[in-house]
Amino acid sequence: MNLNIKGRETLSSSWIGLKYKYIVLAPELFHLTMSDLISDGRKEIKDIVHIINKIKLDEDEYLVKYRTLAQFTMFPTKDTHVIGYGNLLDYCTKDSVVIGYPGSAMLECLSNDISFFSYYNYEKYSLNPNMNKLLTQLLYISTTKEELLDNILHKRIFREGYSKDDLIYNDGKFLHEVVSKILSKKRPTVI
Amino acid sequence: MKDFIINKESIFDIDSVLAGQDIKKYDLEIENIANNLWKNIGEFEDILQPFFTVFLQNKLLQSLYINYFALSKLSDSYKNISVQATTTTIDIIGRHMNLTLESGRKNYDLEFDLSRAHYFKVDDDPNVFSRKFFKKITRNIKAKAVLNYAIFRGIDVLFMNAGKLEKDFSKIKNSLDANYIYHHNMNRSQSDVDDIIKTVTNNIYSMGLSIPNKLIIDLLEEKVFKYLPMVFNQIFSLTKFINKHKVKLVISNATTNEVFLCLLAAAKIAEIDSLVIPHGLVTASNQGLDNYCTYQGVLNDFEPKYKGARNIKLKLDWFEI
Repeated sequence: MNLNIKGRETLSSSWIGLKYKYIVLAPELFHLTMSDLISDGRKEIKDIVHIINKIKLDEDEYLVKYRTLAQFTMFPTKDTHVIGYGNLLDYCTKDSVVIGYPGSAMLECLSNDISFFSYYNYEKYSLNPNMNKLLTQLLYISTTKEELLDNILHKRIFREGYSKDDLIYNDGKFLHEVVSKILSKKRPTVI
Repeated sequence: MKDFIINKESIFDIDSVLAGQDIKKYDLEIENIANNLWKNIGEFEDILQPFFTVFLQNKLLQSLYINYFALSKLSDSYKNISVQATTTTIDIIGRHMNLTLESGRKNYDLEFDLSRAHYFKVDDDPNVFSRKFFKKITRNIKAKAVLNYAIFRGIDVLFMNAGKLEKDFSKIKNSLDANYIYHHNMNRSQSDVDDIIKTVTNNIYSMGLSIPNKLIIDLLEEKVFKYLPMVFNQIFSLTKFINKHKVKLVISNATTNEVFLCLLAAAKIAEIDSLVIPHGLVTASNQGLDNYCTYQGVLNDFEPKYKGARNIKLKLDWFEI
């Protein structure tokens, strides 16, 4: 394991507190529809890095973040990268900019006031009814590198009329509270 | 003409030959196969509705179709295709196209998310002490102790956790992780399974498809039919446990994985309440769960809602960072 050497895997923990201005989340999804090719996902990382290099200051560093080794094998990079699960925030400061597919990482970042710019071609999903496309109503989701640059420069994250308050219900109950209500046969409040 | 070699690097690049091609038209065909998979199988049609359909539509069939068209195209340009690295779908196509399937070729099903085998605990019987591995013995002792204590205390809730929600589940009183329950061999399964396989095979052969129907059957045999006995064993073992111990509610935080679906199916057969919840942002849903579950926990307005389920606003422990 190497310590933050360009093009190598960086420390997979936050032991020495490395933080990055820009973090690219490597693609996780592929072959969900016929046009959802691995070769597109590989190009996606390069496109995002291209945009970061356009806007970053000389001293700004960026990191490509993977969740699993299989994901790295599928979508490799020669840039600085890390492989680890559930530790994204360890690499962020409040000024960090995270870019990638709007999954749970998006919830984590935006809930913690860390900028997250969504990047994924949802048009690929359009022919797969199992895939959740509702997020496109809430977020600006770039489908090209030009759109991504535009959204970052104009700080467009949430669509008009929406904010971080819409990410998670404020009046949601914890799981054990929901279960207690169900078991006590007091019908839980339903939407 | 040269040879094309599928190795540990090029296996991830095969689909690039399809870039820019009009291949979207096959998505509807794939959807049709998945939607009609369990058609006319009889008694178990409702129960099996959510099983394997998302796996087929999101992974298996896409992989089969994409590789079929990619390898067909490569076959036109190369004298021979030598397979040194493979997946189940490439092997199936390779046998059909007479590609050179090298002995000792490495299988990449895990990397391509084409495997369910690791989800099924086929030899993890907590009632039998294995002498082979100390770890297994320790695990079995723990599993047996947890199970027996839970039975002694009483079990209201069975759950399965796909990840992230350990704290959330630990706060539920009188609950048990369903993974601790041993799945017995249920005698009735095999004849049911044989009948189902026969009907599904006929369903596939009756479809007009863009790739040879036999390829779909081969894929189903490797990735679906093989697991049906385990699915049945798990469903009926869990149903028996639910009835015997008067469990009132089951909870699953995964909706597209067959092991988790077994718990929901058992609740449906036992006619008790079931609750599906997300463990993070919902990327994929399972249309087969419409009119299947009693409750659905939802985090925001941007999640697909299952028909027939009562939606409950939920928050998860990991939000409280």
